[in-house]
Amino acid sequence: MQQPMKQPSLTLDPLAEQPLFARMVTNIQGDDTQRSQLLKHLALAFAVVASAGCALIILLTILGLLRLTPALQQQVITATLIVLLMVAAIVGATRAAIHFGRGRLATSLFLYGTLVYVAGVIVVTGGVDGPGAFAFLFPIVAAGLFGRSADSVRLFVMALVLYAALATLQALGLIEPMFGAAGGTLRPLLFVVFFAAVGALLAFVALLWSRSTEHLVLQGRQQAEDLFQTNQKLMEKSFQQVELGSELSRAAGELLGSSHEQASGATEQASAVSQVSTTIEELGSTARQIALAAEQVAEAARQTLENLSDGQDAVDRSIQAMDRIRGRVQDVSARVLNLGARSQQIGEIIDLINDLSDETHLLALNAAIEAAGAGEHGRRFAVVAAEVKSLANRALAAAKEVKGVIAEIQQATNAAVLAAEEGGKEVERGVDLAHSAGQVMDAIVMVAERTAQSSAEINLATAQQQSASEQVVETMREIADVARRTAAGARQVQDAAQRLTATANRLHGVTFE
Amino acid sequence: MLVVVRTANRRYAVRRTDLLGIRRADVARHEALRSAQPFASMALGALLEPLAASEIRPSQALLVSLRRRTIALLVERVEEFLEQPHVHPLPALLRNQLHQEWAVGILMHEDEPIIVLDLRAVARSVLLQRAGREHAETLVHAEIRDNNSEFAYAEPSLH
Repeated sequence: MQQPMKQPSLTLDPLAEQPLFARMVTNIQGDDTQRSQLLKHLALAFAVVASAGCALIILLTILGLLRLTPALQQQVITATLIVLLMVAAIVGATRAAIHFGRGRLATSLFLYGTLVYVAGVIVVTGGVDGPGAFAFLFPIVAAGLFGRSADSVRLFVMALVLYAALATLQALGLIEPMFGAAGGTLRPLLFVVFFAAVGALLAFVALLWSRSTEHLVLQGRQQAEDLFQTNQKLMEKSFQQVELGSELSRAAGELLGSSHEQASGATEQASAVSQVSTTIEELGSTARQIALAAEQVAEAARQTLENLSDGQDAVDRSIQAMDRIRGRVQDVSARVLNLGARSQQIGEIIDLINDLSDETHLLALNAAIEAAGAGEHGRRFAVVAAEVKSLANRALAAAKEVKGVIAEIQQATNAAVLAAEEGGKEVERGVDLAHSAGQVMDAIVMVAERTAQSSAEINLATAQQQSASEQVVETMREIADVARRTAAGARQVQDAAQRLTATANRLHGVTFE
Repeated sequence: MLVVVRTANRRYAVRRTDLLGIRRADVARHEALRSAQPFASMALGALLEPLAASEIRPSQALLVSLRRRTIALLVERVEEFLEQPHVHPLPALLRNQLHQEWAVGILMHEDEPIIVLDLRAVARSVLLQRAGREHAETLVHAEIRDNNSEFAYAEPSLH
């Protein structure tokens, strides 16, 4: 919120806060306290002089020095006492008003009271042509001492009106002066007494005026001295203000630049924070996708583990079956080898038969030859030899056939043995492969378990990352809000700096004008 | 009388009168060892048909007695005995082209022309060719070689 700038005060001295010159023009007596003191002194002097005059008149009347008739003496004493009562009333009211701090009322009571008092004295002391008329001078002159500008004029006008009214009433015979018929020494005495009293009071007023004037001059000199001092201080302050204005202008410039940079930085910060928030939200979205993928991987790993468990059982069963096949193949191989050995024995027997057939064939042939050499006698033997030779040939043919069959059997046996050996080797390789497959399955199971565990850890980590991302996004939003407020504050500071610059410029101009 | 024999690829006929006997090869060798008579053996097929090859071992021997020696000419089989064969003499043109006079005629048997061999001439040629080269060998050594050369048909031994 923009705070109104407080204008620098030019007041450097408490005296300057008072309307000094106005007070000096309107009242030379200074403040009300001084005037009250003067009024108290004047009232006291008035009371003393009036009382002394009354006391003198009463004393002269009682002593008979005035040569008055008894009735007149009685009237003079009564009138003098009434005058004393008036004086006492005026002075008492004035002092009471002063006591209660009503200085202006006290002045009015005293001045207008004395005016009425003078009117009464005129009536008592021989009318308008008596000595009492001199007394009008006292309140008029005193008004100049206490009154405010036009009081003397107003008192003079009122005195003139009262004097004219008394003169008119006296001329019309409506009032009769108390000592109008008195003659002798009383009238001159009254003139002297009034002259002395009025003169004394005026002299006292003049004395007070002189003292007041002197005090005023001294006060004026002192005030002039104070004013000079104040002026000097003001000059010094002005120079300080010039320097202060320059520094203020410089500081305001720097503040303006800083506020520009701060506003720009805050705007950039808000933009960067917005981008970071967007990035963090994307990271959160990516984390959710990763968590979903991790769950899918974990599910796939669990299914893989189940399948691998079945596969491992199958591998174990295949290993057992391979072991049984290996045993069977070894048994078959042994049997085939045994069969081969038997075939070999049969072959040897056949070879023996073959040899015998061959031998028989040759014997029969030789017998036939011999029979042929024996002529007619060997014919029958030749027939037998031919039969023997034929049998031998048949046996030989049969032996050849059997030998061929045995050779085929031996070839088949050898092939079977080789096949059995190859089968055994294949079975061995199959067993090895099955064992390897089992080991691979074990490794795959471990990998799948680790995969499932890693997937669970990834899921947990991504959940934590997602939570952290949300917290970061919330924090970044708060930072963005702070940045926006900072930017707004920077703009306010910028405005304030501009106003401060303008103020410094005005201060600079005011100082040098 | 002719005896028909089979070598690796061909049949031949020999005169009965040229033969000392017909034996199995091993039997003939054993008989020669028992009688302490010089003995030599050679595959007839390898002699007559040097390029021919046979998978059958010549196991039967045609025994020829020559100069107190027994020469066994091995054949794969002595097939049959013909009492009265009709032998045709070799044509003069063909007979003049022969380097060795081993053939003495042609026998038509079972629609097949079969050469009739002079088995003693064959045995004699064998002895003449081998006589100079193997003159210094002892009989024991010859016996050992004969045992080892039972299957070495192209290298006949002479005792």
